[in-house]
Amino acid sequence: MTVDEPTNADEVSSEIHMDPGVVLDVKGLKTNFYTYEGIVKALDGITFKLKRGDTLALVGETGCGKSVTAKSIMRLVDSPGKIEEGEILFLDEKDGGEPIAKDLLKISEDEMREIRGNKIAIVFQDPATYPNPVFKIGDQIAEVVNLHQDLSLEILQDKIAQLEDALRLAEGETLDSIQQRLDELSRQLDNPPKPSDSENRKAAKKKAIEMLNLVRMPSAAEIANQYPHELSGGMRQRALIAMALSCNPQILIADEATTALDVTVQAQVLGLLNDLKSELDASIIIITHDLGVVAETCTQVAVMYAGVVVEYTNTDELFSDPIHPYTTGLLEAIPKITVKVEKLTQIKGTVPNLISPPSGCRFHPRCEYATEQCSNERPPREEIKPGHWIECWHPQGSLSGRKK
Amino acid sequence: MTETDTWSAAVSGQTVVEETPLALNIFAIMQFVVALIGIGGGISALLASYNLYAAETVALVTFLGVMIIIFLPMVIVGYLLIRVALAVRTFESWSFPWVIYGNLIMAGLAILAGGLVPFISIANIVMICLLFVPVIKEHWWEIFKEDMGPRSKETKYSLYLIRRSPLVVAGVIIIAAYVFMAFFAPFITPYGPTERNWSQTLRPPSAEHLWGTDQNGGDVFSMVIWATQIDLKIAVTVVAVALIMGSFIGASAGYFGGALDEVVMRITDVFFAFPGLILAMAIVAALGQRNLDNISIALMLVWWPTYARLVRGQVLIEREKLYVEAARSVGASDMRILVFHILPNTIQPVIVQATLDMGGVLLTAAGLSFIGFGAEAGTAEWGLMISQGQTHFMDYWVTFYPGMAILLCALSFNLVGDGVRDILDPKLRRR
Amino acid sequence: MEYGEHGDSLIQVKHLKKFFPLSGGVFRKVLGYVRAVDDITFDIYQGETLGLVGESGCGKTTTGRTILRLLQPSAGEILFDGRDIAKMGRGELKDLRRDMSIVFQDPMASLDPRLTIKNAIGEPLLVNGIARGHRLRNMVLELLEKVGLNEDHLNRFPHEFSGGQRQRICIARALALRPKFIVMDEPTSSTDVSVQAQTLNLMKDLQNEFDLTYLFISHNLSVVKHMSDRVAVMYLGKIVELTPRDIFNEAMHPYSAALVSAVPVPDPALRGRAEILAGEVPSPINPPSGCRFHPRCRYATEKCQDEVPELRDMGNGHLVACHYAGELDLTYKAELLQDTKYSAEV
Repeated sequence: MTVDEPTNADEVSSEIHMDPGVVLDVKGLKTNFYTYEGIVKALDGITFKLKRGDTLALVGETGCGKSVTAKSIMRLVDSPGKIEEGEILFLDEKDGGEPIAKDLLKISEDEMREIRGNKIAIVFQDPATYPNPVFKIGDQIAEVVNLHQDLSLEILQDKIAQLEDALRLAEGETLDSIQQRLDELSRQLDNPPKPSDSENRKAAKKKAIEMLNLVRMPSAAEIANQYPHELSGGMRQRALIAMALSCNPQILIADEATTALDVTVQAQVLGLLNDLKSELDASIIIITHDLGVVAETCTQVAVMYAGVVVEYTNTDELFSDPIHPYTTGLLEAIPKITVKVEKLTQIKGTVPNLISPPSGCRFHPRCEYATEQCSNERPPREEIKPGHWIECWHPQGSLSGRKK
Repeated sequence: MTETDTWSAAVSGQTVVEETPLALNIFAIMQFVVALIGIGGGISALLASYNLYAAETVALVTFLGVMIIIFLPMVIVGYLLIRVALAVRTFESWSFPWVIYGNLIMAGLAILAGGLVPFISIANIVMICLLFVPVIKEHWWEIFKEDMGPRSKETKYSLYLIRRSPLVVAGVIIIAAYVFMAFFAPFITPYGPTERNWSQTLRPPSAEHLWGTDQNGGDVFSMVIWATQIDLKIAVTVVAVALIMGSFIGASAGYFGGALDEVVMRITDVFFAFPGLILAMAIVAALGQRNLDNISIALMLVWWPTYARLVRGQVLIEREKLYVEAARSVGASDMRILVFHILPNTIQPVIVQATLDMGGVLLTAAGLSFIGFGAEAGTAEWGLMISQGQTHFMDYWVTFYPGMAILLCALSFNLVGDGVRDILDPKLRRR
Repeated sequence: MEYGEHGDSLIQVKHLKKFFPLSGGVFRKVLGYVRAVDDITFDIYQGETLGLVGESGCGKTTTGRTILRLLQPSAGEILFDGRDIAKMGRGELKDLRRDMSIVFQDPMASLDPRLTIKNAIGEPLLVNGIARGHRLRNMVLELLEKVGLNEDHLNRFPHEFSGGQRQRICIARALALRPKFIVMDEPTSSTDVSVQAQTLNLMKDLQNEFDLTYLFISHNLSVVKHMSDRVAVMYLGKIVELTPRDIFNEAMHPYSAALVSAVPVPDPALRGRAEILAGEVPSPINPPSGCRFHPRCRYATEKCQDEVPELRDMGNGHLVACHYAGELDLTYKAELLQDTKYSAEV
């Protein structure tokens, strides 16, 4: 029964050690909101890992804290919210350099700003409300690119490419002068000069169109010139994914990114995310309440309830052997397309008020297997099967009846 | 009597004297009829077996009928009197006797109606007491309490929010101080509003004159406090009338749309084309005399379009909301939806606007007086005091204290208005 | 009920059309029409739940609202209990409003935030002159208890409730006048899975208790299949398929099959079977000629571009609007579904 995997101290870091296969490691995250009616204990010790190249799902219902988790990772929790304790270890890969492990909760705001949008990007739920309606899509993506990326090398390479084209068509004197200029520029390749503002802008726009092509947007150049309200929901969401991916982030967080879309468009967008993951060597966190989406796209799942990760394992394992009673209840409450039932199995009760959450295990008032121990003590996080962690005194599934 | 006005020719003094007894007779007959209706209605209400709703309906109808019958003549006579007064200004000779006759008629009507006033008041009090009679009380008291319950919870939460922001509290306290000053002016001021001591002009602040005297010998301290009455009254009445007028017009335009909406919007466009102060000046000039009442009227006319636009915008938003459609789907009529669903939801921004506007109106009224379009020379009014003190700028107390008074008053209205906006904003409010 | 067996028709919709005019320019000329509902014909039988699915813009919400006469139909007939309500005036409609009601999608938005729920639920009773004062209060209390709430909730405001509770309040309001027919417009789209289960179970209980007929509009196919006796699929203002059978396994229209395949199913074994449709849904202002689906259909031919397919009965009340219905092999996905662990539990 291990609490965590053993870590290898391979890379250069001051005190933090991270497994190189893990890109994000959240440990014991606690976030509170201080409101008029009391302290909302939104997150009560969240622990999970995001491995390189994985698609992790944070599944749960309204109020379970999955959006708060995403915001905590990005350190976008504003007052009256406050991240109380915990560690969010991120393996920051500087271009070309050695990866450095950082605790996102301890670094300065400036450092965080460099990571936000750049190394960790987020796509939100409602594509209708959050792109800025007064700017064109292409401009918005270009802005993000300009903010985070140094395009001087690309601009230089562009110039060289243009000159090489001109070289082929030139003759005589012009040939010589072009060749001269080409040599000059090639020498600068190691240390590209700082480009002018207008050069930067043009290059950023070009990059924006490249990104739109990457997300398979038809006629990307035209779309870049349109305003958000001129696009349909699916296309807007794709444009926003392009924005998120424009800086080649290591982690992409999709916060209910497909909830507001139609089923067929959702299928397109989810397929896109999966294809892009391998193309861009990124890891994805998908936040959703739809277990179907989880089954379709994710490799690893963390089931959340009332601010706690109650079950954490890989997808196949979760669906074939759900152990936590909440997970089993959730799976049974979904209408299945293959089975026709008269009544859906309900989980009795409702989501608790997080100002005064239930004592001990937060799920115990709704759990049919609960005993006194469940209301007295919070169950510890344990690895009940290899790679399958839960927090429960009375696991079900293949292990039901194992513990008293 | 010369008959320069063809209209008055038909009602020359002779004719009036001859007609008056008949008019009085008609009026007496009307009173009798009204009394019959009232008594009959009351009896039928009693006979309707304590059916509260039927009784209420009959009572209401009777009351309205009585009001119309009595007050309609008063309104007509009042209008005629205004015409007469206007004519007097231009010295039209037919009008002078009419001043006497008209006012006599008015006095008579007032006595007749006035005679009823005690009765009406007693009737009101009796009706309210009747509601508490156990037989009737059980119909409505508990449900009333139940309905009020959640509202008082919300009000308590609002008060809590008010307490939490120090600026709003400060604003409220200052306004309360001003209101106090306005009510108790006669008791806290050593001098009257028009008292002048011509031997003591431009004295600096001293024991006798707390804040010094102005160039006419009036005590600055007393005048500032007396002026509170005038300025606050203007601010409140202008905003109240503009609000009611504008809201009604705006709500109708927003809800019914179409041609009405277009017409109303064009009219408000015209009003908005002029800067407020200039438009007010023009209206005051058009009304002829430059006095406080005319400022009030001018400011009401300048301010109502704001509310019309505001309420219209809110109504347009609310009209599209799902709960309006839900109400329609259960069969609610348009009028019910407008009054019970849409209007209560449009009040909030109006309240905020009204509070802020009180400061604005105050400043504009003071401004108008400052440039001479307002209070008559000699009244205690902040703007006027500053205006008159301009020439003696080195004697700072003449302009400083009225100026501070305006500043503090407008500032506190703004503070309260901002605070109210934050408190009522549903997004900020939801804990 | 067996396939094909049903009660009498409570509602018969015949050639219903609803167009929204688009105006523009200085003089508000009519530029064109949004053909939200373009000639649909179907029946709703007494006591059944008819599911209406489709994506956004297909016209399902407009259909629900038009049947209820919240919108004025542009053409066609709507027979309710034999009477044509499509052209009725306001006075006659008032009586009708008692027999049918609607539950909207967003419970927060469909409740007036300034009214306590007692007043919200009591409004239909008040407006129709059924009860007042104490009697109203008691009737509202009864309704609340039917939907699983209690007296404590009577005097609270909508914002003090959770999403699921709010939806139950809306259901209570819809039941107030003891209607025969209720339109459920995406009732569980904004709620969670566990709350959804409670709400759907409640709806079924109420249907049994009060002998209600439902028109269940949703874009969530699994929910629709769970609740409905028959399912109708809409695309761009037209009904493309209407079946009492299992829409998931026996879809006969290419669009229905694609839609069904795109539904994410909580079983990793069924991953990747979605048929990704090319392109986007065309605008309802200028729909494609002939069969509306032909630009995106992989089986389309010239005939599909020229002729509008009519709804044909393929047996047992299964209606399909496709020239090639029954000839296309859309059933390959059904084989995938046979081997899941869920099918073993049937």
